[in-house]
Amino acid sequence: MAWRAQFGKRGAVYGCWVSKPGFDVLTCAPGDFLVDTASQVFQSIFRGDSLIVNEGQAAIGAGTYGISVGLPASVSGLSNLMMMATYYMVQNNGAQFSAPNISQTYLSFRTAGGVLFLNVTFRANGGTGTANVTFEHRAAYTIFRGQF
Amino acid sequence: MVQRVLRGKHPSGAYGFWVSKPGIDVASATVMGFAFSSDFVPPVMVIQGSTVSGPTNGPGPFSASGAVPGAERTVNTIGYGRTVSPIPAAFGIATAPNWTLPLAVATGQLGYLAGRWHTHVYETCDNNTVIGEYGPQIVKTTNTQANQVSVNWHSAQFILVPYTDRIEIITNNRNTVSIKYLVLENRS
Repeated sequence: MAWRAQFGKRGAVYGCWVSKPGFDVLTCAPGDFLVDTASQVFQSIFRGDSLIVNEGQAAIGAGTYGISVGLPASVSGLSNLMMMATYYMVQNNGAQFSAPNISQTYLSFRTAGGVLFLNVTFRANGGTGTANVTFEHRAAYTIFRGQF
Repeated sequence: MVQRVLRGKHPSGAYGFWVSKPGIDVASATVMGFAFSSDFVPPVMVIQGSTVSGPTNGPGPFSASGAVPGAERTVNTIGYGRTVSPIPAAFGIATAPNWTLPLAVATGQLGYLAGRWHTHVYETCDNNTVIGEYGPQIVKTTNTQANQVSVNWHSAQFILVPYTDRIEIITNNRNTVSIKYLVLENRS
C-alpha cells in the first residue's frame, strides 16, 4: 500500500502533500496530488451574491450599469484577482432565470485596488414594460487567492 | 532561510496550518504570500460528470416540413441532489462530429466547429452562406430585422445554465453532442 501523506520535508522542500489513492506521496508526479503545497493551492478568500441592477417596468436605456463591492482588508489594494461569477436574474415573484440565455444583456467583472466591480451591460433598451413585473440582475461570485 | 511551514498556533493567536510561498516567512505572510492556508476553503465541487445530448425534433423551417432533428433546442437537466446557495458556477466543454444546422440542405455548415471541444457555442451560419430554405437574404453578416427566423433554426448552441438545484445543458445541433461538465460552489 502506498504512503499517501507527508508533512514536513519532501526532497529538499518543506510543506504538506497528500497523494491520490494508489500513488506514493514521496515519488508521485505533480499531477497526482490531492494537496501539494509546493504549488499554489487554489483557495477561496471571498464570496458574495449581489444585486447589480433592478429592471422595472420603465424603460432603461442600453448601456452599462454597475456596482462596486469593497473587499476584505486582507486583499486591500490588490487588483486582477482570480475569480468566477454566475450571472442570473430573479423575478419579483421569486422565479429564477438564466440571464445570458433569455436577455440581451451580459455580465462583466474584475477587481482593481481592492474593489470588485460588477457590471451588467444592456445591449438594447431594457425595462419589463409590464406593471408589477421586475427583474433583479444579480451575480454570485467567488474570489480566489491568485492574481493574473 | 525563512520558515515556511507552521502548524499549531500562529503568532496572531489562531490555530491551524499554513505554508508560505518560497522566500516568504510563514509567520508574517499576508494572504497572497501563502501557498496554503487553513483559513480558506478550496473550491467545493457540486457535481462533475459527462453526458450526451441528442437532437430534439421540431417543425422544419422549409416547405417540406415535418420533424427535423435539431429544429428545437435540447435541454438536458442534471440535478445536484441538494440545494446550493448562492447559485454555483458551471463550467463545461462539448464536442460533436459536426454542428450542422437543422436544415434540409445536405451541405454542412459551421465546419470550423466540427470535432473540436468548445466551452461555449452560439453560432449562426458561416459568413455569406446563403440558405435558400429561408430565402436568399438570410446570411450571418447581413441579416437584420427584415428576415428574422427562429434562432433555433439558424444557430448551433451549447450553453450551461446553473441554478441552485440543477444545471441545464442547452444544445442545438442536428447531431449528438458529447459534454463534460463541472459545477463549483461560490463559497469561502
